[in-house]
Amino acid sequence: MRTSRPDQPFRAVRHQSTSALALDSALEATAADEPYDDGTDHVRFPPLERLPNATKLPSPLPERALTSAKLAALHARLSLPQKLPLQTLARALVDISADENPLFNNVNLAFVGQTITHYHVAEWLMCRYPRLPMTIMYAAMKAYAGDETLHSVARSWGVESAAEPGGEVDSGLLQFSMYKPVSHIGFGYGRKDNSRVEQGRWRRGIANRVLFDDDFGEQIGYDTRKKAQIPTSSQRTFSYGTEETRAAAERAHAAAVRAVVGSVYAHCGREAGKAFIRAHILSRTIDVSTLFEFKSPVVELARLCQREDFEPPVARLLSETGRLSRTPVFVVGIFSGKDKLGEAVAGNLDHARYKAAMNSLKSWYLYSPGENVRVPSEMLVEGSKAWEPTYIDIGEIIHG
Amino acid sequence: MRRLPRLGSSATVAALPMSSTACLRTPAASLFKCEIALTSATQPHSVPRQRHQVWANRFQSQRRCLSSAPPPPASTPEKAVDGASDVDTQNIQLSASQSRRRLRARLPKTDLTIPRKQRTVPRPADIPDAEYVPAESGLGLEEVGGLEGWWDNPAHWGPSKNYVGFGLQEKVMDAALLQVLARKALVEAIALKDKFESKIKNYRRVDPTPAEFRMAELVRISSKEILVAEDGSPTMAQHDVYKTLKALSHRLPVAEGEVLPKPVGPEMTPEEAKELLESWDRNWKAASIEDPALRFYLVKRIQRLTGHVIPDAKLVGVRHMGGLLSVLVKPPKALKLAELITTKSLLPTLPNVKIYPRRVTPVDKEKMVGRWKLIQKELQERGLPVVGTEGYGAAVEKKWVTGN
Amino acid sequence: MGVKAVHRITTGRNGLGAFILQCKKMDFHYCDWAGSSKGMNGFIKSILPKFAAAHPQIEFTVSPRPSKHPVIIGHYINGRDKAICVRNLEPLQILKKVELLRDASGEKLKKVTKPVQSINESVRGIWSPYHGNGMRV
Repeated sequence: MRTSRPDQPFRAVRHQSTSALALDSALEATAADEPYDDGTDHVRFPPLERLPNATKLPSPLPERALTSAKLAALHARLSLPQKLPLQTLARALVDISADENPLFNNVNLAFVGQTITHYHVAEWLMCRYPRLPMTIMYAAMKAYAGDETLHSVARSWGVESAAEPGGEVDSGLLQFSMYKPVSHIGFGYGRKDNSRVEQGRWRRGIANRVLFDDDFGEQIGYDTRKKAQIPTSSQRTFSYGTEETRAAAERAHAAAVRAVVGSVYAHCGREAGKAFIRAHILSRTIDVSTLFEFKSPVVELARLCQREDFEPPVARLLSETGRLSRTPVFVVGIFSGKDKLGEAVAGNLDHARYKAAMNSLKSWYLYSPGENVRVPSEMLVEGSKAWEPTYIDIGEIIHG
Repeated sequence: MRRLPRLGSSATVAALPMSSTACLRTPAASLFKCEIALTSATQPHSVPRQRHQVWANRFQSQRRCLSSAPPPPASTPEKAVDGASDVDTQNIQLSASQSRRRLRARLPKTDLTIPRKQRTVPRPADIPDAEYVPAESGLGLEEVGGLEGWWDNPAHWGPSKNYVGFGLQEKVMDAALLQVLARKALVEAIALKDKFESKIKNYRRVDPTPAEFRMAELVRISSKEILVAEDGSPTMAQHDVYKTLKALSHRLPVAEGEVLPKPVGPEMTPEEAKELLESWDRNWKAASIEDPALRFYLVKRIQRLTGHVIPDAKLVGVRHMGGLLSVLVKPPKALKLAELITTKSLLPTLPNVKIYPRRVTPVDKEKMVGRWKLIQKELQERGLPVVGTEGYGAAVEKKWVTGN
Repeated sequence: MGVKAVHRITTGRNGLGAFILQCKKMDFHYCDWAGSSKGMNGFIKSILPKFAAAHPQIEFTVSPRPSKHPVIIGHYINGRDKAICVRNLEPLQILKKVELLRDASGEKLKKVTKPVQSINESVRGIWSPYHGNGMRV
């Protein structure tokens, strides 16, 4: 990228785009020295901050991070350690769509952050709910560390975004462009040909997803929402609040959160990173039982009992009221021998049986050794207790 | 602002091209005609009339000969109308250089830059091109050169024409320096008053207006001992008065036409002034200045030395030197809150605090979030003013809306 | 496939894990000349440095607004803001207003009728008429 000149010592000249690279460095330096012409009266309203000709730069210079009150307040609000410099935090707020130069955007930090976050979320979910089916595992992962969630995390931190990225923008604002076509970088194994999967010519099963695809079991470089409508370029320029802009904003916010996690890990180490994830991501809550969607719960429950050598499940009516009324209520329990696996209340007998079967399955799948389970990463701390093997399930129920 | 030349004699006025049009419209080869045109230009209303005639191609005798055809003989009706055209035709035969020499001899000595050399257009007969067709009328012809705006150029004005004020051009604002200068003014005023009261016969050519003062002189004169009498009237020892008057009269009055020197500020830093001020005892401030002569000289000297004009309304209430100083020395302007806290507070050192020295405008807010560059671009693309309304204010907009 | 997943996201619980103060920014506007800003100017000079040092998580901006009454504007994480005019108030009265803005959540003011609101489900469960011994009528 850089052309080294033997007669000149190395100079920190910013080349942020390919067009800037073509310019002579001296020329660029003089252009940057010119005051930023904003078309206003500089005598009546002297500039509040002496900016270089900042419209030329895609993102603010790192040294401006030290003068941004917004950034300092964000640093304190997240209780980030002093070891983490403001410049790094400022860099964590520059999305790839604002600045394509990897030396100035947050892609690298976000990659580190995503890896660490996903590791901690995955190990925590696995130890806490060892029997979760893989699809629910993916959904739970996404519920904790997906783009949408991290977007709301960033919003809850009070991260504000710039209307349009640029060198004159406050460093404390998240910088991304909603309208710049940027190839979204996903982390994971991409498939050779996504269209074949789409056409149904290549099978994409669960086992397959474990191998390929990203940590949420989603194809790399393939946005499910894109199928709805791809806006034309003119629409993209003048419309606000579309699916696309929302997705772009979510991606940028999520990348910023991941980059902050990454920078905490990079500057302050493993334990600080883990504590940060626990405090901001794992402390959030979701009722995992609401993630399930069963197709044929009665059959699935029968298979489960067969596999586990339980007696076959039998549905029994526990109590009822108003059978001939407008609003009958049936309470149905599912029994395996003398053990009640689950029960449910519904307005008709079939529905009650289905619900009871679902509840039985959920109570199986949502087995948990406890709230505060030990996770493997605790063993990385010096002088930790000996590891007790954690419960591992043999796998989900497969039926035809 | 167009400046008018201050000239002593009417001859120069006549020689100077007051109106470039009158000069340019003269026949190029004859400068004598130019003279005549100029003399006529001094008469009221003649210039516009001539100009009109020239444009209408009726001012035949003085028509600018840009054509190869010989100038047509002036017809009698125009001759009757035109006062300037009854020129002795013999004079036209005079050569240009001859008349220029005569003209130059008539000019008085001046430091004004006067346009002297004039390039002449070849006569129609001298143009070798056979296809050249002379213009019949000046209308629509391009105007080249000329003396329009000659006197708007400051380089054409001599230094003697510059305005030199009596007081110091740049007012002395420092408190200590003002007090030192006020004391110098008092010393000099006492000396001048003594001379005014004819106590002293020497130093007849005392000039009360010297303005250049060097450090040593400033210290020497302002440090003269001022004796304050019982009734408050200040006096000085006789030899001090003589020395002061000598210092004042070191410069002869300015001769006629000579350039006055510009008053120069004191060669003293505020720190030195403060030191000097502290070396004196304070009773000079109790000196009474109720004597009109003393007061007159004092105020005049203060204006000359410091540039401050003390208004009469304030002077009425002033009885002694201390009162005068309180009028003269203004207390320093109160600091703005933003300046105060940036210098004297913990606030600017905090990283989460931002202090703005001026109002944060909507444009600033847009700039901080990066939207301003988009707004600017879109406005420029549409040819609209970036800030302000550029003459299309609320009233104009209302007119558009209501359709009036 | 047996089980399909529903797409949902987690809910944040501020204070559990990390606490984020809901007031993220405060603007202080004053006038150098007007008398109604006298108390505000005193507040900015004497009290604000300590207050700002004690609250590093809030961004403070101090800017003049000539010929206007002094105003404090609090900006909140939920995107709303609250403005309080502090004309003719003493510095200590202004401090009270600043503390009010700091402690506010940014939500619109509403009447709280239930003492506890929670997103957690009830520990005791919901009473059911179909379980237990039933009621004899």
